[in-house]
Amino acid sequence: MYTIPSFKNDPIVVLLLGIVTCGLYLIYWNIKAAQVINAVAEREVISQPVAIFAGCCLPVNLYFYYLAGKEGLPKVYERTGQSNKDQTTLLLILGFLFPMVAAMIVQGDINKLYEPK
Amino acid sequence: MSPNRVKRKIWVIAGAFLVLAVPFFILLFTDSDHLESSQSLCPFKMMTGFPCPGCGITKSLVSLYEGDIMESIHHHLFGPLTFVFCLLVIAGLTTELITRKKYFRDLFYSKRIAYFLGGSLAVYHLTRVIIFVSSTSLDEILHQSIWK
Repeated sequence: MYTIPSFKNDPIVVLLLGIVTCGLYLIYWNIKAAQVINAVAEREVISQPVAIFAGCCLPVNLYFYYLAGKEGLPKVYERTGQSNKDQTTLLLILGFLFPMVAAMIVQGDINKLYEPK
Repeated sequence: MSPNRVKRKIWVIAGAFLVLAVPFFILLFTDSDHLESSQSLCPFKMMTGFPCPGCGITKSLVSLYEGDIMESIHHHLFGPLTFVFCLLVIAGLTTELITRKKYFRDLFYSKRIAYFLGGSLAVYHLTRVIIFVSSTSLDEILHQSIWK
């Protein structure tokens, strides 16, 4: 049984903390985001090792955003009642160039899980 | 094994191969001196001048291919480990694809190993950033970014 962990942050805070900590915060962020996505999908979409190494290794980071965009976020949209959209390409490009911005987008979608219906 | 899983494993093998191949081609076509002084291609370093947790791994692999292990560790502590990990991924997943069996799931998906390595990397990176900030002037930091 999966329980969705509480992980509501302002996307701007994710961006700022990612920059200020020189990417260290993103290692923690990846772990927490993966936990939320796995709980929403009710299966292990992003494994913990992938989440941890996404914060330090670019190819793994791209794999993280591929999984999040392709398999994770559609489940989040389903849960929050939003129309389904494929953000994989956008997340892959941003994950390559500006991982903090890609994290902001995912955080924004995750935050909708905690909004009252 | 589902077709989706097979496709995913092929992508992971290709990614690991790319990680090993890029430094090899850099070694073939670039001088070591030029590599030291040239602009880093890491988007974070280009934007801020500060290193990200993965900064230096490519240079570390180049040094490793040159046979200089100490220089490789100097560039990034996890460079040699990345080399071994990528070889393991390529060999392990290729074997799994051929035999249709799972061999290294416990190793690749071990939370304990992942947390240990993630924690070690976080400590290493934090130390590296502190040393970088204390030993580098603002001018040098700007010089390492694309802004100067």
